[in-house]
Amino acid sequence: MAGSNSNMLVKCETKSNRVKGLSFHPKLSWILASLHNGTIQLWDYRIGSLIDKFEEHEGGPVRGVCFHLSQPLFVSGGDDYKIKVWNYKLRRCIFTLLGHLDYIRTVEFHDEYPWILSASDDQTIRIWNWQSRSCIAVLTGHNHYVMCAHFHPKEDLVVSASLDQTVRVWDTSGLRDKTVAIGTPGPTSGTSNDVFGTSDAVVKYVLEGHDRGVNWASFHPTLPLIVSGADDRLVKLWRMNDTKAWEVDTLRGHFNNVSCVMFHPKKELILSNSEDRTIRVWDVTKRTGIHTFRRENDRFWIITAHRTSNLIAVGHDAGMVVFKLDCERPLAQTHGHNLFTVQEREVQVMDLDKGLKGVQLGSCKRASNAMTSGLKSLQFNAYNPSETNILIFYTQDGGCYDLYVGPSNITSDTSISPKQGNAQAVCFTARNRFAVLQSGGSVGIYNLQNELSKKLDPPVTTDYIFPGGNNRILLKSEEKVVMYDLTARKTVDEVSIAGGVRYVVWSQNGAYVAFMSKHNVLLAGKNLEYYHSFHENIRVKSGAWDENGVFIYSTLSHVKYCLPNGDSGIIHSLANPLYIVRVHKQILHCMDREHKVQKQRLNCSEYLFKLALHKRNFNDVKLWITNGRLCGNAVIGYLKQKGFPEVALHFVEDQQTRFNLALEYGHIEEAMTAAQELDERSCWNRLGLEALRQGNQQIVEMVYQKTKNFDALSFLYLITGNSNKLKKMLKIAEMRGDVMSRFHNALMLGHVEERVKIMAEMGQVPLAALTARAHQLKEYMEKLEEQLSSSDILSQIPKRTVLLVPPVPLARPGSGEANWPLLMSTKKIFEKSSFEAAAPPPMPGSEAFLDAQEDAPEDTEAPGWGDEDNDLDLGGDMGGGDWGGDLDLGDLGALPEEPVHVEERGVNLTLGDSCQAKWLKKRRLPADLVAAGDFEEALNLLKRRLGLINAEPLAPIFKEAYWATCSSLTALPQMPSLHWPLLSEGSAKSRDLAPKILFTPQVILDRAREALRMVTSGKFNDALNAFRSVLQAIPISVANDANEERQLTEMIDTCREYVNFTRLQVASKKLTPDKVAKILELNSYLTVCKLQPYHQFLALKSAMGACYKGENFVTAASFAKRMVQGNFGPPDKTKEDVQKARQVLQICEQKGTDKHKINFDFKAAVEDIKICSGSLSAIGATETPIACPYCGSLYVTSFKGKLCDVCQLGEIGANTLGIQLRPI
Amino acid sequence: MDEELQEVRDNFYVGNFNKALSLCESVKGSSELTQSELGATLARCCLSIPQIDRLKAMQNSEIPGQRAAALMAVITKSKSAQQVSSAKERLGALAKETQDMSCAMLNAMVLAMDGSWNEAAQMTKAHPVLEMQVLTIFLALSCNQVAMAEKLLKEASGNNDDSAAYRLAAAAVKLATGDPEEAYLTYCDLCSQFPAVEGDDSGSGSVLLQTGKALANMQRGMFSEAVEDLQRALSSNPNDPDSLVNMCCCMTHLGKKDEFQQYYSKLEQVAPTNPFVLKTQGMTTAFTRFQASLQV
Repeated sequence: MAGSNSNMLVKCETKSNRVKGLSFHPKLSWILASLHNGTIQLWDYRIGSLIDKFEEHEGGPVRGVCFHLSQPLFVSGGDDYKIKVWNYKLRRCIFTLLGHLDYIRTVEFHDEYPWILSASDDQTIRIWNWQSRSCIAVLTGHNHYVMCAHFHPKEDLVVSASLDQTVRVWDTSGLRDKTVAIGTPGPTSGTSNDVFGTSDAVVKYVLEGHDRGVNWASFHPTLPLIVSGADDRLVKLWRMNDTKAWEVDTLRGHFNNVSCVMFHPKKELILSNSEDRTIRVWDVTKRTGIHTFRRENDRFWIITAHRTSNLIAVGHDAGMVVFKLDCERPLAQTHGHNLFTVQEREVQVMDLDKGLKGVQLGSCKRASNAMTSGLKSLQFNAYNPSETNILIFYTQDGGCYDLYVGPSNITSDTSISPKQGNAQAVCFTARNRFAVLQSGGSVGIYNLQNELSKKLDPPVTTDYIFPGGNNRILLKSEEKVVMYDLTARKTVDEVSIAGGVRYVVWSQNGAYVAFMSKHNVLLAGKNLEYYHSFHENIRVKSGAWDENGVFIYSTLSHVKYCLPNGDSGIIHSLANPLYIVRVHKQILHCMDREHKVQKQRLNCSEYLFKLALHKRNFNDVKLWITNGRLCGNAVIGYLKQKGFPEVALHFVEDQQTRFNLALEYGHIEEAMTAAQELDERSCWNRLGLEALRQGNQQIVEMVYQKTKNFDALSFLYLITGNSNKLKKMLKIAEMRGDVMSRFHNALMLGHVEERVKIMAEMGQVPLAALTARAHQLKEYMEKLEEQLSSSDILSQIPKRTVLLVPPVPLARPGSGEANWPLLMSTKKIFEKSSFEAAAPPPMPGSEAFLDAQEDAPEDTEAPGWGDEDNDLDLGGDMGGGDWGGDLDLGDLGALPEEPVHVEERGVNLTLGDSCQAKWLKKRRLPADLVAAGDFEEALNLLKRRLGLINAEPLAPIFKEAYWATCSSLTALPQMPSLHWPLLSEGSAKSRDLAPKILFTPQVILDRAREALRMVTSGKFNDALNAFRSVLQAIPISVANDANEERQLTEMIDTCREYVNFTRLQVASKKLTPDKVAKILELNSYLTVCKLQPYHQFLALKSAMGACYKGENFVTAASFAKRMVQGNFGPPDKTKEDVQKARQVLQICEQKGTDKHKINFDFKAAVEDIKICSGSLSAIGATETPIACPYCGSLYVTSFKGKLCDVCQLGEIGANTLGIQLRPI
Repeated sequence: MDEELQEVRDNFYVGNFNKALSLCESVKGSSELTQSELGATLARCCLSIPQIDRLKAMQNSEIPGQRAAALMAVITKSKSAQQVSSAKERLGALAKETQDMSCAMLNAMVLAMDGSWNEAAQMTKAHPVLEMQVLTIFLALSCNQVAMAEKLLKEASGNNDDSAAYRLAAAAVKLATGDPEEAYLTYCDLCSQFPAVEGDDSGSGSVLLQTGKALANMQRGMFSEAVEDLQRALSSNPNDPDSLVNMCCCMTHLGKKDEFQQYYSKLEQVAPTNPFVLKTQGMTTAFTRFQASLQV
């Protein structure tokens, strides 16, 4: 600002001719300024631009101007004696009121009545009805220029000021009764004077006191007060009651004519301005001057205030200023769901999730004046979880602060008395520390007792400080912000914010930070890594981070968002500015200028849709598009811009749009469907072009057929080598009688005769003859040359001629199947990497953003996504290809005269995928790998799946499995044999190849049965080998269905139990008879193996026998009991033995002793007894056994890492994927 | 011309080489072309039986097919790589120079052995006769182009569907497309029509036919029957690698480990370069490497 107004909060400043009149629009951010040169300007003070100009007043200043409260009207009065009423929507004057006989000083609409009040140098005040467009009263009495006249805001009063040194108050109630009474039409006469000459508007009081002419007088908005300003440089305050009015006080200070004076609409202030180039603010109650705003060169002429907002406008010699007396920003900071604010100078905390009712925790101790609160900032110490620490910073007294330290749990009883200090700025830096920017520019670190603990000199000239994270501080130095580490005493990083940062907002988790200057927003990481910045033309007010890492901010007019990837947009517009304090789960909490906390539902659909798209979370994308009712070109455009036209197809229904979209990303089929719906020539043509570009000749053909583009069709057949269809084209051309087409087709086919015929038919005999001769078509030559009696054809044939014969197709499509896959369409890429598999593209700080998510949806996608994203663009990049390049048609003529074998069948033989390769593409089970001869891979797979550490037993099994597929067929004599693998039944026909599996579940079952028989017949050694080999063969088996898979996994368990069983048997047999205890122990263990019932019975029997013989009667009794009580198959088979067991039980119970101490708890439930397969002894009940990853045999922990003794394949305790017997 | 040579061709293709040989010697060709084919077939019979001495004598024969067969003998039997490659070159040149069908056929086979499938297929194009078409079908089968083989078979049909060559091709295609029943029946027909021993009605065919029949049986899961077929084949040629391979496979399925070992050893001995043998031998390496990887 040109002037040196101290601390003027300027919102808008304009430069123009002298401003004599001003009027705020009651609702919009507009102000009218009437100028000394006769122009009326309409400004938008929010964006600072001139909206309109009205220039119909002729000659001289327009001194008065006023908006109507509700109608799109304003009134102006000028030195041309005219009162003009304008419609600003129509942008013109709608009528003019004539009557005044001299300059008009002020004009004013009544808030309720259809009245206009005007004051004029003709010493009268007039009241006009703008509906009837007539003057309804002339108020006479002043005997000099009437400088101003105003309606009382509530009562039927008018106040006027005149150079006759008086202020008069007029009573207009009579006029009101007469003219605006319900049902009575407006007066018809030009004035309200009745026949007796009495007026409806009468002077009520004449206020005398000023020594010079009075320039301005105005009512108090609510109290019976009047303020006036005069050329005697005084401002006078007057009171009135029903009967009288008197002077109350005089405000001295101006040293030149007071131009204008008014009461502040909300605060107890008087505002006056003067030709002494000052605006003065006075306290109504104290009647003292509070503040003076000065301008260097310009005299002030007019002052006005907005009805509702706190804006004030003044007009001076060179323009106008719109400003505020005080900052209206509420002090607030959220922490979690708590909002800390200052309301009515009380510090409050409010739980936003519970309601909008605050709990007071202390009062602001600093005194304020009537004009400014002096409150600058409120900060909550987020680093201190155990206490409530709040710093309130005030601007008064050169900057000071209150520090509130209280318990974390604030109740209504809490009242914290603050500690105080002086500072240029303050902020918390750690759990129990805050920084104070001192007036000398140094930074003091204080503890919560408000004691200086450390002092440092910042590395830059610091004019403000902001919190910078734990033990860090942000130093603002003009447009720069430096992050300074207080412990390391060094600068972390710095950023520049155009205009200088005003507010800093940290995300809840402290991972990122937003800087807001007057017109810019800059987002950065916690170490000040720059992410994005935005420029706003209109002031940035506030912002908050939501739980997804999206920054929501407000400007004066809009609520906007900014995504982690830098996309930004508008959420909604604002009628009144608001200050966002929190955004959480689509709820916006904000405060307005009246410091009221509001809760609004925020329509986040758009940004959540974009966020979902950014995260490749396509289900959510769909959800937001459908539920959020997002549609239209903006969304389609966005999807296209982001490379996802495919997604748009999901919800676009308009066929034309679908067609365009599909074409745009090269999805031929989709485009085709849409084109069929549309069936428009232009669509077909475009589709054809795209199909041609992609090399999809079938579609191209179809399109050409649809559009009857015969020439293009012929050419297509030519370039695709489709001579059959080309022949058809020739026929069609004949039928159509299209000679040129016939000729072309013949040319392309190399049908010389046809060409000769056509030329002959068309009368081009010489040409025909020439062609015939050139091609040595004797038959035609003779006939034609007969007709050419005169001319000599031969002389026309150049010597070095080359015949025009089309090239022989090198490759041609079989039955039209072969397209040329020259281009990959987007669709294919999508197929390759499905939506869900793709992860978001890299973005600075995206990790940090993702960390912050509270409900963290699927954001843990695999890495490597960047590549795929790049792939997505390929569809466009590959455009064109070079498929035309090889067809150098210029060479056509140069080809040697090869005989045209149109129907020649060429076989292009290349080595196809072997059966092995084919089945491995479908399935890679160990059995498949072995059958394909990929033994090493099979072993590695088994290592991963089963923890295989001993391959030796597998060698014969692999060999068998491999040879089970080997076959050889003598092809023809002398020809090498055909080596086809044997395939599983039916798989050759289904084309879903699979090798012949040797170890089918059936084979496994058969082998197990065989082994079971061995057990029954007591051949434990053989049975052990047999079961083990079955166990070892199962990994090379393949289950065709879930049932087989279950059978096989059960078989693993069975084999394990039997291997254990037979190993116990073998071990016990090996022991010498003197080791009775061990023998008994092993025999006892036999009974806990999960065998078939009969085998279990036999095990019990043998254990019982052994124990009985070994005189361990108690143990023997337990086995006998199990034999008696259990169910072990057909009774006839076990009857005798059960009988015997009964006897043994009886005897043993009588004896009741165990001779040998064995490690077997017969009292425990059978299933609780676990045998270590390594040591063949019971595992203690408290011990946690480890298992073989394949067969599941249990071991004590000391066996970890060793080879499993049961299957002899797996590593005990290894962490593996587990066996796979069936394709997933 | 076709009729007089049909019997020779049929017997040659089904693998009754001795019969074909004697027929070649007895039939008198009516034209130069027939003569030349007869000579070539005779030479190819010598290749298959084999009668190397007779082939050696043919090195400078007037009949190009015989010279080609002699070169083929060098290519298949010689241990000198240089000899083999020069013989291949000469065979190629011979085929080009003479445009003789038998030369082209043999050359195509040699090209196929070397994996030059496309060149082999090109060789077959010059002579649009059924035998050549059959060769192309087998070439297609060799390089796993089953669909193409099926198509080629369709194209070849109608010329002489009763000929042994066509029926062999048809059987092979059936095997490749997973229709072993049809293949089995075709082989049975051929066996009874062209018995290995004149007048034998046991249905026992040549080694070639028996192997095919066995494979059809193997594909049908009838391994015991396949073993019988193979035993007959092996009785006439105990060293036939194809029969031995198939025998090993059958024994695996029948769970006869000893027999498997027996046939496998035989196979290792007679066909040390057979891919199955090489793969089996490679298995040891794979296991060793795996165990070594565990040590790391």
